Amino acid sequence: METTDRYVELLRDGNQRALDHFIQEHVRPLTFFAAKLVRSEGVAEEIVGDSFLKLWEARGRFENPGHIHSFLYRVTRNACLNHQASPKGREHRYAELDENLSSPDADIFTKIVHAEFIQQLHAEVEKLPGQQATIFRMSYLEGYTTEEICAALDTTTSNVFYAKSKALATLKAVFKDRNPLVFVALSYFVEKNSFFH
Amino acid sequence: MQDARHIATLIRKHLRQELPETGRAELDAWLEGDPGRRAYLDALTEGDGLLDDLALYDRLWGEGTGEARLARIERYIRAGGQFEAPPANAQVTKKVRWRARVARALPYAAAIILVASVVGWWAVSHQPSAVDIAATEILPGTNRATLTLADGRTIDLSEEQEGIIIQDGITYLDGSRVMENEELRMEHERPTLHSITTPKGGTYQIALPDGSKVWLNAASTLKYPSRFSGETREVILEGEAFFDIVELQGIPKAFGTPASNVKSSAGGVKSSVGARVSRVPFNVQTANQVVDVLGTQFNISAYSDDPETKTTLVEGKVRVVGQAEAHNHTPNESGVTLSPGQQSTTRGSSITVTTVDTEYYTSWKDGYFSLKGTIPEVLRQVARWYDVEVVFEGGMGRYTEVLDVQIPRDVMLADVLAALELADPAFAYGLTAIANKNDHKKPERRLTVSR
Repeated sequence: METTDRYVELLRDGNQRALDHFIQEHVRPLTFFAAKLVRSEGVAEEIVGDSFLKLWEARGRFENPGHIHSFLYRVTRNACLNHQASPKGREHRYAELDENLSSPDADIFTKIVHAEFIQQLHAEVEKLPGQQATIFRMSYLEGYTTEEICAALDTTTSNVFYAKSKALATLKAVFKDRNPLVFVALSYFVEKNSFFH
Repeated sequence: MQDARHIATLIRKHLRQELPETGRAELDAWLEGDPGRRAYLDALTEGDGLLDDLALYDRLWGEGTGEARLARIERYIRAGGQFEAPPANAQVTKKVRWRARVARALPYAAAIILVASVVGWWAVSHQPSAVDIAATEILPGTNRATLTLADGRTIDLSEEQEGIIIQDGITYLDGSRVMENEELRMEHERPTLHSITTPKGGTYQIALPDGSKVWLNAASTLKYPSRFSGETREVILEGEAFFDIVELQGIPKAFGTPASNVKSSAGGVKSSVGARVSRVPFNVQTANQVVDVLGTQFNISAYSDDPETKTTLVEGKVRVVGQAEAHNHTPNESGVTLSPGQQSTTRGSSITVTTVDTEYYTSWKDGYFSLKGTIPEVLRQVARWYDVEVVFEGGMGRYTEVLDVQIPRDVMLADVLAALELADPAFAYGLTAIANKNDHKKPERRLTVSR
């Protein structure tokens, strides 16, 4: 905690390395948070880039890391709402009929918590051993078919099936397999992406 | 900020049904804070929204795309901000113009980088390759360790916890369970050796059954018995650890009710060596030496890649005996006895004693690198904490100057290297990631150093 406060001081002094520190710390969940709101990864990236520029411009005003955190989320949320209100954003909105946008002010803190939660969950997936993580990502997150994965990784179908089931088993163990709801969600997911394609 | 991150951790524990009572109360308080929150939590695991979000996050920050995205955002910020001391004027104007265009070009840029990264992925998957990486991307070590039981079972310990307490079962410092008593019971007939291992960039704390505490530094292993037999206490160390050993007297029963029989060395009780006949000895075995402990705080550094084993005494008294001697003599008659502020260096079978500032050898457990030594000596510790391989260009003879550096351990590698640059103007470095995707191994991060 003390060292984080040191970064706040350094940022106030105009130290570029302190800015790097806060980028490292917040950029991932913040971009996810923005991408959920604007439904575009490219736009989210630009908005978040601008948020850090605003942080830099306002660097003299911060007293503790909590300030910086809430500032970043606040300016990002505002930029996302502005984007939605713009003609370009409206296209997105009507095209998507997104329920998120019907109540843009619904407890922002819950959305921040959700972004941090997804970051932690993703870190757990990343901890899957080597090829399991690759195959999990390719099949479940990127939607590649088993055949495509075989070709890309130069491996056999049975290897991919094996790795997929091992990866899912590991991920279920992450949830300790005890929560029926999560189990249902995962099972549903297995079915949807089952081995028939 | 800690709030949102902390609540997210509570939710994750709640889903794993590992939330302790105190956490439950915190989570409930948060849920009461807004009517939508309980609905959020209930809906979290319904349908495949969670996996959709995981996929979105992975597209943003997963392996491959994440690093390119971060580099792009950093360039964008750097080009738009008014940073001081830019590398060259020509470059700045170019960057400013680039920034003006980048907003319009971003969607296309994203597509191009996607194509490029697919092509790049094919390239790296077929041959090892080296890419430059920024020192700002290399984060410090964290609380990481693996517990290996005598029967071969292994448990990756939680990164959100700082340490474990070994009693009948094994719990984390906050009281949540690592392992139930029943799961260990089959070994209870006689004590067996368990081990806890930290990787490079990992550290963990262990409270032993007698109340003694051990801080394990990176890339280290501590072997300890599932319980102490009563006549002697012995652990085996490879790597580095700080020990805070409680003085223990009397019969094995003492383990059940430690309060009345145990004196903490931290409480300022000086051990009276040899005076108590019933003292239960504590030994730390390393490859080259045995440390006979007499109620105390001390640090041992015994890495296998370091020819010297250093024992640094902060408080109390220890006796250091070479392994060869320990086998041939009774411990009381051999070795050297250290007083507070003294350090022994065991090299082969010789042991020398010097007086040192113990701060330099123990500060790591308090979250600081406090190092005095040449750049290669400093970097040996840094490499273990940041999980990088160090390559010295042009021989070690160039590094004669002894530096005195103090750096917090929770900063990025970039900060450490910046401190070294300040200390030695001739110091220069480059960082590359040597990847071999065919092996699906973590890429090796290589720090090349010259002066």
